[in-house]
Amino acid sequence: MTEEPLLSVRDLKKHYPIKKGLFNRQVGAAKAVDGISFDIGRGETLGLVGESGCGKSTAATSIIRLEEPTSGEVIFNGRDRSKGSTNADGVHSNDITNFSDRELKAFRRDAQMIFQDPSSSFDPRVKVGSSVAEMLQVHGMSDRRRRRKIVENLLERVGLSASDYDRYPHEFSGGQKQRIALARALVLNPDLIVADEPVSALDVSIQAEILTLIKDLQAEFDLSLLFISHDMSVIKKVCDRVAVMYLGEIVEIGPTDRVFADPQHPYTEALLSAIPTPDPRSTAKGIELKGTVPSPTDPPSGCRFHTRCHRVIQPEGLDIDQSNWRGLLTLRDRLVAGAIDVESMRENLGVAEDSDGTGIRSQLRTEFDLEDQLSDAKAETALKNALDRVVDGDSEGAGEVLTSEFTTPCEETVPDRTRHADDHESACLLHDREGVVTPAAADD
Amino acid sequence: MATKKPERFDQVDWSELSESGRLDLSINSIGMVITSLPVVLLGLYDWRFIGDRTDTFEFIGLSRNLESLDYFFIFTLLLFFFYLILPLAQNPRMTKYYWKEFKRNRPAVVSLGWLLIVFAGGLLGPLVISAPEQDILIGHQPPVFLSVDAANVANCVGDIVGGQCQGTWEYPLGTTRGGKSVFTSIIYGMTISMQIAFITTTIVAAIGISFGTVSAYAGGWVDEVLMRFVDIILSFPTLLMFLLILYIYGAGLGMFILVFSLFAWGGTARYVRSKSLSVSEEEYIKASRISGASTYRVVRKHVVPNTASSIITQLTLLIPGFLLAEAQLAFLGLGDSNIPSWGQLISAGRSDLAFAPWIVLAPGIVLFLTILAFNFLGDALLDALNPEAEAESE
Amino acid sequence: MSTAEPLLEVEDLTTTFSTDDGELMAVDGIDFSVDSGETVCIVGESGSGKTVATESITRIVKSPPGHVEGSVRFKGQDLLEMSEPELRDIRGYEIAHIFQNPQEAMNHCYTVGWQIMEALQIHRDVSNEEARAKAVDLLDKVGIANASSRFDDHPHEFSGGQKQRVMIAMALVGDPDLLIADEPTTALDVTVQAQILRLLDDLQEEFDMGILFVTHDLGVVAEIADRIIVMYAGKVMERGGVLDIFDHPAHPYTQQLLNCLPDIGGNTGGIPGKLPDPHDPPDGCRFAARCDHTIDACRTGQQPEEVEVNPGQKASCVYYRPAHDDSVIRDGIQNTEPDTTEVGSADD
Repeated sequence: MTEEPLLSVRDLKKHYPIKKGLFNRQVGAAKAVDGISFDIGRGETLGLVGESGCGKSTAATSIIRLEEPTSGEVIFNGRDRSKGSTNADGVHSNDITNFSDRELKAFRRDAQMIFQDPSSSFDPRVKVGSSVAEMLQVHGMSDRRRRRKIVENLLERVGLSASDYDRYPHEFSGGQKQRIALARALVLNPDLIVADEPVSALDVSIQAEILTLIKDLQAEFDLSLLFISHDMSVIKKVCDRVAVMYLGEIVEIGPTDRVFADPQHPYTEALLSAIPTPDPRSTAKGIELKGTVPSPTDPPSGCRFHTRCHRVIQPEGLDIDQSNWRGLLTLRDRLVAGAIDVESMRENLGVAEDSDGTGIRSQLRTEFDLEDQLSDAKAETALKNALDRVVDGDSEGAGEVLTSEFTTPCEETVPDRTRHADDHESACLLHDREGVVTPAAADD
Repeated sequence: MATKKPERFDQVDWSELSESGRLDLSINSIGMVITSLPVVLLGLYDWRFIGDRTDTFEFIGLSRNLESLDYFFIFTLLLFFFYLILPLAQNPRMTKYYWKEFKRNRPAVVSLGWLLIVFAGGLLGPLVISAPEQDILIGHQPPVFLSVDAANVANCVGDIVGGQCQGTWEYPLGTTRGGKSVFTSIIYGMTISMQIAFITTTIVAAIGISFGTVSAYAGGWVDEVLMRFVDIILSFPTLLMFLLILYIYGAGLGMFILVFSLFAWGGTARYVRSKSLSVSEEEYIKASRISGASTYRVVRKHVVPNTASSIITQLTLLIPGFLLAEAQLAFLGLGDSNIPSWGQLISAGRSDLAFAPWIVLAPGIVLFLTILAFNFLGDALLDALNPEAEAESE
Repeated sequence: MSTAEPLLEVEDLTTTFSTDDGELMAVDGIDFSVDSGETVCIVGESGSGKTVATESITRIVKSPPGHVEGSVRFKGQDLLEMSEPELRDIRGYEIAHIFQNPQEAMNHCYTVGWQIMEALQIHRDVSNEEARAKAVDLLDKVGIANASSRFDDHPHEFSGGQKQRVMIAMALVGDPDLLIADEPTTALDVTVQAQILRLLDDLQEEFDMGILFVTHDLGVVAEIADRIIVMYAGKVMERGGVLDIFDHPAHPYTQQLLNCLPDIGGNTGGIPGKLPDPHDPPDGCRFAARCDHTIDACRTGQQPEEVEVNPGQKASCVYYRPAHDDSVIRDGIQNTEPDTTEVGSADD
């Protein structure tokens, strides 16, 4: 780590206050981004990957200060800012979050953004050339003809023609619009481009085109890229390093080939196995990630992924089939949340067939992947006990039984970052007994 | 060759450019400033240096006077030209597309033609035709091709055939009781109607758009306060207010326009606000913000133009209300009796309806057609100015 | 090919739209069939006419300006000759549709349960209790956890993936024989896409449905398809079993599409150029302008006839010409560019 990174994000947080009542009292916060840290080197592409709702877009807009971050530092060392230092009051001179309006406007020249939806990223009433040229105008280039020349030249570089300057957005296809969006992001000659799902609205054949163009331009102008996507296969094509985000936190970060070859976090594993394999012969069904990302207002304790993790750790002294264990925890969480409605289950089954509740019991076991008989006797007794209570209509009690009996270390301990190799770190308790590093220690 | 290297984005020296070109006015704004300057100077001259009784153009030997309303009218016309007509000419392809869409609606094209006639008549008519003169001797002349019982006409200008007074080309739409030419009065009424249409629209648009966009962009308590104020405006009894002013101070056309337009922008403001909110969600607004553009610029260049289609439609549909209100007040005898508006003309003819219906009918039909035309136009503009509709069809 | 009549048989399907700029031919005389229990994928870029083709089957294309011709035989009846009320009984019932954007396909004023019940009661005379029970059952089947309490939730309370599940539940009300899925996973996350694909697979087994699946993503195709139809500019370029198409794609367009896939293709440049103007399609092969192998013969006459290049695999390309002795001559194409001969194994 001799060279200064272009961008260093340190413990960045973005919380949206949730207000209620007559006086707009703040009753909580949606922690969309909750303390993420990473670096992007010059000319490097960092992928930020995760499901929708994991906070990756919010991270992007907060980094580039399209939204005000709640806390944290974003240190940008581009252009002529290479020698930054921390002031007496603890504020870094290159910290974007503390930029004045003037500095921020200058920073806009250094960092630009590409958006997801090509159909809405251009003003429908403005010629695309003018849309691109507006960037120059905003930054003080008042020479109309010079603006036009620069933009025409740039349009040709992104694979369009100079005469496209005078056409309107609706006259272009999605892929072409994304090329123009790229031109717009480039025209101020930035050091960093944040690309928020730039290809997910495009056909696969056009995706490849755009990705290649991005890579070519990146090489030519030594750009750094923060590339956001939910699709691991896209990440694989363009990124040097990848950061996997889940519910506002980065759970794994490392060089792309290493993360793909040897994913360390179960969430990364699941994301990788969700990529459709273009091989009709492969029948191996990957890990299915059930459910959706929980609400960021009340994230799960410990490791935030534990509610959906297929590798959730079993407590000391318990050793049952992993899918059973997963099922047990899911059943427990549902019962505690009051999300199992026995009455209607019974209605559906028909009361006559299910006077003693065996139907409900077996249905619950199937639904939660539980075998008829758990291999661990103690666990089986607890489960039976809980199911009995469910049948009796005491879901709350059943939840309590399971809660007291089954706990996983994953919900109690917040995992630290573990370093697996240079630059490859993940935050999972499975690795906690190996070499533990504290996240900030690496650079401070 | 080396002196003229190709302009490339990565070869721009920004340090040399920053801070320069602060005042980067568009051609339209420059034109607006240059042309409105003489109008302002003339107004100042009129107001400060010459007496009330002297005509404005006395200094070049013209006997024409300009009222404050006229200045305002000229100003709105300039605005209209530089920010609506000129942009259309500057973007011929967009204009062509709008025209193509607009053309589909036949009644709207006819309406536009009619409104252009009214506009041209109102603008040029008073310059070429002298104002209708009172001449009691030639009262109640029938329109051309029509005839009326000679007993009702004091002094028939045309021939009297079989006891019937024939209309003449001299007074193509006949005359009023006072002998004023109805045709000339209608032409002069066009000026009044156009003044009402343009000035109210400008006031409503200016206040409505400012309130709407500020409200949408400021958010929080500013939004809350502004929108509650709009509620008050909307529930204000404008007519009563106007009558009150009328009884206490007396009220001319200027006061009518002022009062009615100052209480009519509530709906526009609300409309603009909701439109701005939805437009500001679009990615191109984000892209514009990320360019470093100021909020004012983003609103001025992107939000307002993209809400314009609905604003223009809404304003077009607002105009008939004002024209009708003026006519109704005039008919009730509450209008400005010094102006030759259509309403005044109708009002003047109501007592002679039995034997001289043209005095009421002619301006009545013109008023009706004009209002109908504005409504058709507004409807067609809504369809034509919507670029999304086209994007979907492709 | 089986001897029995297929579930759905489409012949010479042509869909045109009258626009200001003249007739627009979105689908230009295509044939295909779907059997019970099989999944047929229509693959193509946006604008290739694949969506219009599926919407023409039950005539849900907006008409006018749309106009559908040809024959669509579903279980022995010609759907295109049916009256609108007759068709309504089949639409959404025996033939169900799911769409790309579940947001837009739902009514946000009503609870999802109510909407499913309504879909059911339109077609069947069932009591509210029965309808409710069936709706809960369906929600449960499509994997909505705790179906009975989610029954009374409004659409906005569901995530994108869940909404698509609800749409599938709604499509299942009539135990459909044919499910037409138009890019049902394109708007979704990759993880959710995997869930939905798995769900469709399970449901197909349970209901023995034929599925007609429209997508631009060959990765998805590989996961679910039995047979593939490759469409381009309103015409079928190639068709065949999924293994045939992936192992030895015959048409240059298919080859290039496969080349765009991350794990297969060496080509990362996509397919340059764009679709021809549908108002005025070019002579000869529609793909000629973007093809690497174009020869003069490609630019004249009609779209080449589909020729059987392998058993069950047909391609519409001048390089495969029906010869007099009914065997197929393949000239040139495999030799012009060595690495396209066996695309499937290029990167293995």
